[in-house]
Amino acid sequence: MSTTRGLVASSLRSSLVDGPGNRHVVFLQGCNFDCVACHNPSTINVCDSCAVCVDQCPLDALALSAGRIVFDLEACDGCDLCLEVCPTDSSPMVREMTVEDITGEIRQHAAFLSGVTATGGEPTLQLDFLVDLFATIKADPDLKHLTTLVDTNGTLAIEGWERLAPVLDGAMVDLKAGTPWLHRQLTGHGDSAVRASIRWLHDHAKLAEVRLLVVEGVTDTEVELDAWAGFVGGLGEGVPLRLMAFRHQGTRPQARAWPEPSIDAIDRVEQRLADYGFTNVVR
Amino acid sequence: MDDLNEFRQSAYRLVTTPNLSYRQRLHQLALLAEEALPYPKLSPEAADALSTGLVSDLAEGHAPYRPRYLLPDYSVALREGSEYLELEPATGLEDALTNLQILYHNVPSITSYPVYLGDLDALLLPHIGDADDDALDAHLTRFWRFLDRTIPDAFSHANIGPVDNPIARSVLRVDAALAQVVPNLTLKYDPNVTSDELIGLAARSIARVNKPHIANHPMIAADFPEGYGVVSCYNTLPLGGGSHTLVRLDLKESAARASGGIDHYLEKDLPEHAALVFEIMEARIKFLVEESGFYDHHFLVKEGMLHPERFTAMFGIFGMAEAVRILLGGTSRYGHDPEANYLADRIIEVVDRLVDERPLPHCRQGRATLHAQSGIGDDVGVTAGARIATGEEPDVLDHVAAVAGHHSRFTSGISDIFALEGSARANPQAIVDVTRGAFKAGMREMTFNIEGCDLVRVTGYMVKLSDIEKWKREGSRLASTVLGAQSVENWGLLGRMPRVISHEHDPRPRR
Repeated sequence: MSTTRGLVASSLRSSLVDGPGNRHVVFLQGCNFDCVACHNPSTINVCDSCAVCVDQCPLDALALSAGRIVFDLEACDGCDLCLEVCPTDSSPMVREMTVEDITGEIRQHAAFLSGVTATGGEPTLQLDFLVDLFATIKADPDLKHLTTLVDTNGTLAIEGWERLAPVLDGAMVDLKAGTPWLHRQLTGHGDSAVRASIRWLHDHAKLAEVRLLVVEGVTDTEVELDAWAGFVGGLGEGVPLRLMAFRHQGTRPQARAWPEPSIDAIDRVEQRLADYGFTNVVR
Repeated sequence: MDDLNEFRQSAYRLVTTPNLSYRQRLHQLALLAEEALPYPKLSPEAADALSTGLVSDLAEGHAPYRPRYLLPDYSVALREGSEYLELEPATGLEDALTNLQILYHNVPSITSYPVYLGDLDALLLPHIGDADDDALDAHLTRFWRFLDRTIPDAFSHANIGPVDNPIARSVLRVDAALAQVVPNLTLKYDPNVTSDELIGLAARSIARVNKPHIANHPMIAADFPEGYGVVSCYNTLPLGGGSHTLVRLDLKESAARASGGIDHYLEKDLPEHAALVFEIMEARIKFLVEESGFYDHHFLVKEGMLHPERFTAMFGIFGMAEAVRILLGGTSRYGHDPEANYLADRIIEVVDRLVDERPLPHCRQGRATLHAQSGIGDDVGVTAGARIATGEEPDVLDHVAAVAGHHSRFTSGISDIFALEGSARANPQAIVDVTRGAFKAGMREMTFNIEGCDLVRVTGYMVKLSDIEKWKREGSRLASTVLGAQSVENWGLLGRMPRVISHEHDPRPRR
């Protein structure tokens, strides 16, 4: 029985949009990127117990005790007002959970699942927890039929992937821009670690898909798509690609200046990738 | 004389209603004539239950001259030919398909259209010879068009599975490509027998056209060793037989008439109300079997496609959601509160036991079978079958947990409809996952409505949303579009998220 603890933003028992099939999804708190287009900004930082949210909670589900936020899950109705007032892009609702807490939840509905996806935040920042969670799933007779996927920004070092790989079925990696300078603009970081991860995962048959977030006029320009396709194409044939349309839902004000891409815009990107010879593009 | 005048006026109105087709007018006129005959003799209590809506015979008519549901074993005619229809045994795919078309035309039913089109793969596989997939698709495309254009009744139902085979695959391909209302379609699914490819193909079809419905084959096959078919609104009935009649108890009305507490209701009121249902069923069955002589004369019986001893009678219940709410004093919600779910299970247990204890003449195993009835067009403010109230359904996992425990009791069928978000369209494996989990949890049948499909389930049969608007202007070729339109208005289908409504059909004469 594992008692490794993780910081969990939320544990969702059914999702149709985090990999193939019906999946249990674990959102791990904390991210090393600060993407302009982040649709889940309350998962970026770890709560510093500033307590701005405590008085705002209409249901008194939050309290400050011994300098730390205490969150009462039972009292919460999920209005998310605390996330709106949080000055640090974090959440007071994050829970410390053990691997056993999570696998206990999954066990209750494992018959309905294709697998488990860890996302976030950036789930690989809590590598010990992640490795332990997936290892526990793979070792449990009731859970080992579940596939384990990670939804990642790809910044984990190769040594980390080497540790995770034996219990990982696949990684879904965002490559957020084609050129390094745009990548830095969008994420605050360069892309060399991401590209290295994608290469390594591909070479070790752990690359489930590479994703491009289509922001019209930003990530879908000719220069960007050329560079993006050039890198992905260099990996070899058959890499599964996914186009995701940028949406305002959940984003911070600085992202709202971009329009949501039209269907036509997504069609154009898809056509462009087809012109490059990619056949494995989904959207 | 007044009665006759009223009859004439009703008949006149029917023959001049612009948005009823010729066939629809003919059918309604026949029903009007049948209802001019006296009802089989009932006690005053039973007659009162019918007239006040506690019990309903779904307007099957006053003088039943054909069973409500027939599931002929068409394989007999394909193998041996038919003397009455002057058909030789089928010797090839074209022969088999043509003979089926001829047979369908000669099968009676409550709606005048055949409700069971057969287990098409089992029927056709012996005749496919060396036809490749393209040839099968071409044949079945023509056949599918024939069905939709000549059997304008969405209760007509074809079955496939559980074994993977070229016909089942072709049926799924053709059905999804044509996106027709008819036929309705069920895949019999056995997780140990059905291939991943076949259930995967079915899930992709569901993502496009909300068909097929999926039946828990091992569970249902155990109830019907003689074989079974899924017909109409997910009624599971014996192959080579069917159901004489379907009489339903309105649990909402029953609960409203409770004369004491919950225990008193379960021990006294509910059994009394059920006794009225049995009395009406018995009277109808006796008329059908002993007076109309259907089973003595019909060629389907004489030629071995139907066996009188394989006919059951369906004891329907509906309005569970409201009954539970009434009995618990209006606060507890079925599907959400353990107390309400527990009471629903107790009610079903009692009705199941009553069905088990009450002999009925001329019925398979001497008993009726329990059925969760899916409602009719003019049910307003009462939920179909044993479903959770429309629009109040919890997420899929909680939904399954609330209803799976009682599914196995509904021998002649139960349907709960599961709404899934439109993202299932890009991820059909999720449909397979949920189905597998649900069957493991004890569900008898699974039906999905995926948000955003034009072809949607209204209680169980299919309706094209785009047809409903058209019907209001021009009338419909399909009887069920009319019913769907009524349901949409009565239940606010279009205003709701991925939610469905409830009813089986609208059998009443239009006065």
